[in-house]
Amino acid sequence: MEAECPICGSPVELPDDVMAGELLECPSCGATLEVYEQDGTFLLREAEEIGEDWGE
Amino acid sequence: MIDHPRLEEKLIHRALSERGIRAGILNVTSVPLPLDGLRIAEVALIRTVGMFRGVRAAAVLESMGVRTINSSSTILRCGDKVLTYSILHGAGLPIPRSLLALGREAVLRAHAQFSGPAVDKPPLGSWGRMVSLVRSSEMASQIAEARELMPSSVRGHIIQEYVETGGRDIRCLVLGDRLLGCMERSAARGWKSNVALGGKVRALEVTDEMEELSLRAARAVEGEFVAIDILSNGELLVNEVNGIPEFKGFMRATGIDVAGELASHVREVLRS
Repeated sequence: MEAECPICGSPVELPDDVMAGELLECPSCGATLEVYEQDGTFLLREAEEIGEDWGE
Repeated sequence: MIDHPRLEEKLIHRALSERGIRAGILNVTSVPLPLDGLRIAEVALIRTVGMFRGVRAAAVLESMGVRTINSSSTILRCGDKVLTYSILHGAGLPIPRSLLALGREAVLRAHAQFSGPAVDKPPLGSWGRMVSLVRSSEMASQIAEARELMPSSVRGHIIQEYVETGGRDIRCLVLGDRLLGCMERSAARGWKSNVALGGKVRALEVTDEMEELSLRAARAVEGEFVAIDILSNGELLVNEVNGIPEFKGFMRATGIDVAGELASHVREVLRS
């Protein structure tokens, strides 16, 4: 399964167990991307910035 | 409860399903939670990357009568390191010598109390971000100045003795009233041992002291599933407690099926 990087347009391979909200890195341009679901299809958008309270 | 699912959340979901537990995934960034709602589940595992999202989602669920793991108060106590250190010290647990500085003048006076280098870290944050090893008052002043440009939640400073551990620390995972195991993390480069920064991990034999300290620290923050970070330079000091622990490095190092253990724990909670 693939989706298009919204930044550089390159195809990005999605994992078999992909979930909405997951963060991926575009292997081509290095952008951090967020998976979202629309009408049963997984798409990519630019991820929100890392929050100061992120982490474990 | 998730926002940005990682490997950990996928493993937990799989482990719950394997045990016949009907588990839904709710992304708090896309689904609103009713503040005056009826109970939507018996148990909720709070697994957000954003600490405040976790605190708030857990609080709403708790008001419905949902058992949250961890609770909103535990996540907050662990997420704000000033609260964590205060609670640990209040419970009589050993922590690194630390000062809270809430303004530039206080920062400089705090650093002046240490003869050698000191660690300066914000009250919030993980993965070693914004944690600095400060070797001079000029550097302390520059950090204070830079921090003033940041969101108010990270503007305070925890200034603490630099504990010489050879770039290593100990991470112990506690589930319920049990210590699952411990691993050592060592810095890939520099002095920060965070796995997120490429730190290497290996399993550690658990000592009675590590077990006692971990269980006491978990109890102090009322944690049900927490990771305790310990520094050792001869004596053991509790450095952090993580309220939404990541554990892929821990699973790799120790071979312990953390997701499976957590799912089994949930099954016990549901039965009780």
